[in-house]
Amino acid sequence: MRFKKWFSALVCGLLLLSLVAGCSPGQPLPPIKFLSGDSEVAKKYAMGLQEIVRKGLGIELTLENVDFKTRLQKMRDGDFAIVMAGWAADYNDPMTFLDMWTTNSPYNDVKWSNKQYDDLIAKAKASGDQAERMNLMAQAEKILLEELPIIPIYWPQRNYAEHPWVKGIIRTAIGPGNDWKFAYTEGRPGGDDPQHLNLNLGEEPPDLQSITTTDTVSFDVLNACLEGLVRLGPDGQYKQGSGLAESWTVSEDGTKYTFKLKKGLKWSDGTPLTAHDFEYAWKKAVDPRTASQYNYMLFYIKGAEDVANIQLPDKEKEPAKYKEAEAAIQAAMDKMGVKAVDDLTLEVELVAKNNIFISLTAFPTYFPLNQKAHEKWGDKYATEKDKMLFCGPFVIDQWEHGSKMVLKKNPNYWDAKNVKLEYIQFDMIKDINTPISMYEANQLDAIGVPGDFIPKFQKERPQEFHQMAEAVAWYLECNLNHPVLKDPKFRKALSMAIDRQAYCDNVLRNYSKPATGLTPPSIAGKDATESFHDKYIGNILPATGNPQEAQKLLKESLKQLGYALPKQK
Amino acid sequence: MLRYILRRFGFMVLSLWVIVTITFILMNVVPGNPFSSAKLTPQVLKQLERKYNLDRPKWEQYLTYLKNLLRFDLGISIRERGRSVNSIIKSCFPVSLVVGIEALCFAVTTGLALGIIAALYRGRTIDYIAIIIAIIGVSVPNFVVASTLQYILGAKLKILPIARWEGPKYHILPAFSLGLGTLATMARMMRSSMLEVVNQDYIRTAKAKGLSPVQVTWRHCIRNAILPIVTILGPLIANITTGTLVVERMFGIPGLGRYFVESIYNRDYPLIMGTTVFYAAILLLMTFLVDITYAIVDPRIRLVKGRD
Amino acid sequence: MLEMNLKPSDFEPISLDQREGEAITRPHISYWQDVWMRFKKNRLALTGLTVLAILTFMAIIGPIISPWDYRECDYNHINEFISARHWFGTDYLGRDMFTRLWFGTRISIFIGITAALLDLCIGVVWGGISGYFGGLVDDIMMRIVDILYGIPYLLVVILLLVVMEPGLWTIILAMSLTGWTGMARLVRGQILQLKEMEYVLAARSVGASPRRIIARHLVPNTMGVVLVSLTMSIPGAIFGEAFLSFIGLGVPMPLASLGTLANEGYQVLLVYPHNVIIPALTIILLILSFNFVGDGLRDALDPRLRQ
Repeated sequence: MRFKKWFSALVCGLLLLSLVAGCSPGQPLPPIKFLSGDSEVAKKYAMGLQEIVRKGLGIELTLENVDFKTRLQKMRDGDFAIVMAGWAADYNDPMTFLDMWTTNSPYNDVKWSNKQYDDLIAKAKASGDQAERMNLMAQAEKILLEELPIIPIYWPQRNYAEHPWVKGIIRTAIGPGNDWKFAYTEGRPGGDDPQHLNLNLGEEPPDLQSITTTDTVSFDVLNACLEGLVRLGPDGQYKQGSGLAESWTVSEDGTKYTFKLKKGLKWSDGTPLTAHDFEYAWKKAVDPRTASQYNYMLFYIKGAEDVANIQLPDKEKEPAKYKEAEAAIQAAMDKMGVKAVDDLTLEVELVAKNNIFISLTAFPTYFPLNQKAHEKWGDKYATEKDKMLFCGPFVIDQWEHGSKMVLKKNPNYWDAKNVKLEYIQFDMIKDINTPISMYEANQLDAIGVPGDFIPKFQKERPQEFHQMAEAVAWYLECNLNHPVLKDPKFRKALSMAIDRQAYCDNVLRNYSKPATGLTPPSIAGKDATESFHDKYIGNILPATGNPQEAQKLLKESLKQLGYALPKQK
Repeated sequence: MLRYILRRFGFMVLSLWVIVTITFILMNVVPGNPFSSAKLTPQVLKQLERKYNLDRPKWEQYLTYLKNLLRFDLGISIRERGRSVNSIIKSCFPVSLVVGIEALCFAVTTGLALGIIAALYRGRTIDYIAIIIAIIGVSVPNFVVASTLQYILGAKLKILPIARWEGPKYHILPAFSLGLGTLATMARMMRSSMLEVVNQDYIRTAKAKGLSPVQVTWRHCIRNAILPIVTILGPLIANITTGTLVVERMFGIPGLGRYFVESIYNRDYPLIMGTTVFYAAILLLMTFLVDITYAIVDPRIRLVKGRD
Repeated sequence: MLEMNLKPSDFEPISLDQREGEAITRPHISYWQDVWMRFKKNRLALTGLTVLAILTFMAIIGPIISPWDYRECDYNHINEFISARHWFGTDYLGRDMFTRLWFGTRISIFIGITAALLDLCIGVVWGGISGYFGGLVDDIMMRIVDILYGIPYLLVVILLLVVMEPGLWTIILAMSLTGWTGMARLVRGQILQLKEMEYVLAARSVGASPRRIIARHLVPNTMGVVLVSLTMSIPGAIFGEAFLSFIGLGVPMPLASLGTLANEGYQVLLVYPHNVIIPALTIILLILSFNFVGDGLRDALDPRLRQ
């Protein structure tokens, strides 16, 4: 009973406080609900941000941590004030971060609408001149940073450890996170023979069908077992001949690509790999019957969106209508801008000139698919190791769902002579402490290092600890219908009040960078030598916050909205 | 007896149907859907719902599910695209069963032994030690125990493998971590139940007849004291043999346990239903068996009243 | 010769009030006084009670005497070991573990006891009725228990989270919703066994109502097993709460409970073990004392041991 009393005392106290607050002019501030994830890390970050906002602005965020699907539902229902969200670059261009905030974009979660912004993005998309595009996109991003429908907070950093004998793993910020094609070991205790790696995948890859998959775990595995027209090289460039295409030519207006495949390419079962396999895969990826979540990655190709937009009726209930739809899909596919002219030549027609198209063809959705095999296994394709075909440096040799996967060198791969690893063994262990123990016992060759473990690694294994910038931005999405967050001034006050540097240094503690803009600095500008953020945006948002300015803005905003200023604690 | 068994079986099927129905309703009421993700357009959502027949009326989906269930077809997982729920259960359950049985063997034998010893040496140091062992077992979260053992025995001393699922050596730590909680429950229940029985008249009678203490303990005490244990053993077996999320994740064991939680997280409807039906069936079967065992262990309980 | 002065009245029978003859001469002790007397004799139980009292006391005043707030982040002292500045060190956000520990103990004791008592109430009534009447009533009631047990708990919990605001009572409700079934099963098993006892037969033959038999004879005799199970279900509730925090229905952030503290500490187990050892030790202490008290109570309540 003591506790009940204690709690009722607390409630009474709060009521009294709110009464006192009620005496000052204006209504009390409505609750600002901060939705966050339910993992321990997400909760820690949320509590950290709550404290930073409390210190900077004197406003208490109401925390609510729910599971991922509930969070998405709550966001859709508008039952939140702010929510932390992240976006990973699909390709190396600022557009991947910017076009999602246009009025009609399906990814514009906050339903923000700004005509000027839309126009700038549309212009940038249509422009063929890199420098002009950059300027247009920079103007757009500046509008976004002024209006702040989303408040950028930080750009994460990848922290990992690998043993000194591990060489040649390519880690990229965009697309598949890891490429093991060129990896090898040198000086492993107990000998390098046979050449192999032990790694932790973290979980079962949920979907290994290249045209439907969406998650990074599957991406990593697919990038090792399949290959697109190009492959990212060790130097970070997409070079002619690096993938299944020997070379390509671009038409003068930049909308027509002609790819020449390498001669003698084979699938893992020995059947020849031809340009038709690309045509089949790309058409299948936008087919409404496939229902691929990443179909938009192919919308740069002429006619692709038309295929995807065809409505599919219920096959059993309306068989006639379904037949009609199937015919319509076939017709639209025939018009789609991808065609295998012969076994070695693939012609692609784009909607508009596009500078990133080549890098897109290294993305898993663009990987080839053998029609015969795909149709043979149907919905079961890629659910077991013997129900799929491979064309990359490795093939899946063992796959024990939820526990272990072993990749073996693919002898049919065109560049097999340059693949040094005989096999890679993956564990699927989803825990923080276990992989670290395994790494220390040399049972894993490389691992990701969580924030709290960084000091330990820096101290005990400084040579093995590495970092790299990710092409990811984390930001707060604001509910623009919320009584106070609808005011840009209030959002600006919130943004000003957040000491991003302190948040990175004290809460995240993983060397994340305070986001002083939206597009991360690792995204290129007009060419690979410059960074879009550094060159065109600069530090618009204050990294360490500006409490005085924040307070000023807050006062103005609340006065205008008719709310009382919260009591400083 | 046969009538009783038949009636109980009828109830079992009925219960299973109720569970299926309630779960189906709950699943559809809970917010979110299998496809919601950050990069999903409304157009693709429609396509996906079409593909998995989720755009049909709910009652129709329900009837289809029941119809398929009668043919033991549990459908196809949405999250692990293309894998049938039947095949997931078929490949994962044996693993969970093995770990579960190992854990149970360890927990029941050690737990009962601790409980019996504690009861026989009641009030002495040995009793306290047994209780304290049991309580530490139940009050330290098993992920902490497992992690510590992994680090000390695996990473530092290199006596046992840290994780992975290969030879018998790899079973020791998971089975131990999994069984620890059950061990404690067993020990505590057994001790208390033994103490209860020791005071009964028939024990005094047995002693008066001149039976040796070992015989009294073995034939009279333990046999009677074990009854409450049997009661909780039913759901316990069902629980432990269908796997546990934490232990499976930490050791990379390809068991069924994680699907119970992850299917719900992913709103993987067929998998939610599949795991629930499977678990419920095992649970009901276990309780059924427990009730039958009752009759065997304790002759005083008559299953059907003499009147009818 | 001795003269005897005998009067006729001397030969009248002494009348003794019948009731007086049957009267018990020792001072009257109520049932609960008796329980307390026997409880006091059990040293271990007393120790348990003392520890429990200390823990409760600290849970109340701990956060008050600490110079730190339970949620304040001391950024220059993150993941710090025990020191003069922070008596029990700090956690991964630089929050004072001393304050958080006692704050967490406060909430955990409350949740643990409330949830366990709720389980007890529902479980004993349900199991008692089901076990005593047997037959069809038993069948139906136990099938309901089976059904409740078979429904995926997590679904119910997520639904509750959406319907109700996150808070202590939501947690307790979520845990009790299915938590009582174990108790019901246990009580039923005991009652099935006990109802064949001679004293029940005797009570029935003198015409005691089923309600009286269940309440006065059967339930008190199951108390031993029930109490032990109760002391086991308190840690169950504490960990149940930790699991719920894990899936988002736990104590609202940034509040603490022993379960969430253990969960948080686990994130840094290999680098800052004190963050998990301290809450774990507190849980052990708490559970140990609950158990000793439970055992003491069990013995004290046993009617057969009454002196």
